[in-house]
Amino acid sequence: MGIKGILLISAIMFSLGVFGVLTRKSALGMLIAIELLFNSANLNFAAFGRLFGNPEGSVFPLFGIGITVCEVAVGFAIIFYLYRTRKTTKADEVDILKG
Amino acid sequence: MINKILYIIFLVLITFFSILTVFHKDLMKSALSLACVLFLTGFLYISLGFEFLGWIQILLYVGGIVVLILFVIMLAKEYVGKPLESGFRRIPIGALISGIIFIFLIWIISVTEFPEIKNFEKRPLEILPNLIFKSDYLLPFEILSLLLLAALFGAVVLARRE
Repeated sequence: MGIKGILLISAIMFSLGVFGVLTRKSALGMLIAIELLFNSANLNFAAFGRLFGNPEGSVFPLFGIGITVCEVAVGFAIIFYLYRTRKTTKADEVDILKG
Repeated sequence: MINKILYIIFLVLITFFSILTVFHKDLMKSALSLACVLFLTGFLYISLGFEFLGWIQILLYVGGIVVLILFVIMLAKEYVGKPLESGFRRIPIGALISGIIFIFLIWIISVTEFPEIKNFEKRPLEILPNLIFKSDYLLPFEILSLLLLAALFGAVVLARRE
């Protein structure tokens, strides 16, 4: 299969990830869906790097993976902090900044 | 690049596990199916010719991040004392928006004319280390390690007990 097949897989992952981010109640579930989004973006970088014969397409997924690690660590720390102060892990109930 | 039967197996498996990741009620099983998706994506990288990236994906993502997620879910279960709420809300609007995005992406992919795939000159395994350590990407790589350090401190500060 050519490049279009890889892009199709990436599109499926991306739209499912968007659905997960929009509909999950718990913040943990939303973070798991965000992982899917990151993964599909990385796959696109690699696919286009392969398409144009440019090996630099594999550097950006590496940085993407590194940034994902930071995002997951800080995100889960925030969720724990929220649970300790607000006694909830639902994203909708965290409305401290609401006027 | 990748033969047709193998591609269809990958497509079906990745779609199946992605659906399971998003729709499963139990966050634990959802995280485990995320691990399957990431594992299969690693093999897709290898089939694209980026072997180093593929193994990094499997080692770091599946071995590191997913294990971190599983740890947090198990810890949260102990901490909260009951299974985490993992229901869904606003399903119609979520389905509408993600459906629009999906149709748009499919339309773009099917309309665009892509050029023929070119071949690499070097052996695939050497590509990524050579690029990072012998070219302009060394500085971003070091900055990434600083970012990791900052995230580590931030997570510790946020999650410690008073």
